[in-house]
Amino acid sequence: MKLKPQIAVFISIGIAVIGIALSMVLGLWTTESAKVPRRLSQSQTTVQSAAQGQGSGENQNQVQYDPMDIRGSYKFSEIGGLFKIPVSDLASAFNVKENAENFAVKDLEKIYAGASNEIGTGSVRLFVALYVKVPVDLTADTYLPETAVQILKAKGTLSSEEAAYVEKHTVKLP
Amino acid sequence: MKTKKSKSAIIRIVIQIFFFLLVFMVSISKWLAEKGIKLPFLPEVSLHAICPFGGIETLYGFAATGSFIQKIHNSSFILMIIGILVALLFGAIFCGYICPFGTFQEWIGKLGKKLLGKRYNSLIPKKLDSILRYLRYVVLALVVYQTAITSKLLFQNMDPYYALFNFFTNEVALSAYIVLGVIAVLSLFIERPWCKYFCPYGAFLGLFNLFRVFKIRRNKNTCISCGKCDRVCPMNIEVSKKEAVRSHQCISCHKCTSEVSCPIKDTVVISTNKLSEEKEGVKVEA
Ligand code: SF4
Ligand code: SF4
Repeated sequence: MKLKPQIAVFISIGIAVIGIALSMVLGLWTTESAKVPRRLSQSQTTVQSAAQGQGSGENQNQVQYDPMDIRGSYKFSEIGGLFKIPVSDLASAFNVKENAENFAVKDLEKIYAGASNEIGTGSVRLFVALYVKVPVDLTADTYLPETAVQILKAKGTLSSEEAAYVEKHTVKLP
Repeated sequence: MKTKKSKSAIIRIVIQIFFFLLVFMVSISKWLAEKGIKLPFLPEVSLHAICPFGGIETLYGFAATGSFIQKIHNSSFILMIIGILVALLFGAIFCGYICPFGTFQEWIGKLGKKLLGKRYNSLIPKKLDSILRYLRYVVLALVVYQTAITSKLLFQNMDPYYALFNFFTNEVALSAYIVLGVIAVLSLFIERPWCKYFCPYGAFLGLFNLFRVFKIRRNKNTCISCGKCDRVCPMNIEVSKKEAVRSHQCISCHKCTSEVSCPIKDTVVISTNKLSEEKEGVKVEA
């Protein structure tokens, strides 16, 4: 079977159009993330429950998301909903003064453009992980603004290693 | 001999311009949307959402965790599947007709052809060139590996396509601008240097040339060995020495075909069957 070049390319474009249309009809075509982070593994959830001093009953039905999968496009209101953190705590931690609900994590880089160390998506991940007591990698260098550190300390749930880590990784604000 | 552009060649140019403008407009629309300005008829989607290579980058992460890596969405995955289906039929036709970065290099190359004449696209020694052609598989392996271990779209920092269509935003890394500049300059001397030596998606699609259903085939019985198909091939494939083009480098641009350049009717065609048994009267097109 022979085809002219234009027929080959029209068939190709046709396959693409039909494929996209079909996926739209089936509700599969999304051009934005559903903004649902991946779930924590069983072992991470167990460590978290132990750290929170919870037994097997309480909190078992709550879906445990991985703070390390928070993306730059997430808004504070979405993080608050997913991880059960008051948006006011997020706003105070990162010094977001206006419209905190709709503040996207990636915009932190603008606020902290002149900071001595990077404050960005990684900082929000770290803050959320420590806030909800998910084990974090304390070998990486991720920084938090001092306001975030104060909130974590005030909660009183940091382990001694975590407290020492955030102390060393605090960015003082002007 | 053909002097003016064939219908197939014109259709290809129109399709290339269409996709180039479409991608550019999508990028502008997204940028304006972030500033609160909405353009009619254009979606507010990121370039990542309409890039089929994103699907390949996220494959490992999807298999391991069931979720996509940062910035990659369902649409990329669906486009990847569509890209594979099309490549199974026609090879890397995406590169030859649709990819706007391929088109960009081709347009710069037209200037290079004017400046260098016959020396254009033949400056690199053959031996070195044939080795360098496999470099893009190293890039593909590195991109897939890096993405798998970091779950981040690190390739964006080196991606000249992203830099070209986002040059007006503040999202482009300096390294991507540098790669874009180097590729633009190289395109004056070599046709499609990014496609030939570096592009990981082109590398992936090129593999389908080995077993695609519709191959570029040459009828050796009617071929007059004029070498025109070799001269027009942007990827320097010696079509005149093959019965079927299986090179991983073929971008299915169809420039070598009898509809576009080959002066003998039905001699270089897109076909499922071997042509060597066919004995047709030799007819030179007017
Ligand atoms: S090889 Fe890459 S850059 Fe070239 S046309 Fe194909 S996808 Fe585009
Ligand atoms: S072999 Fe023909 S279709 Fe393939 S790249 Fe060369 S000119 Fe284009």
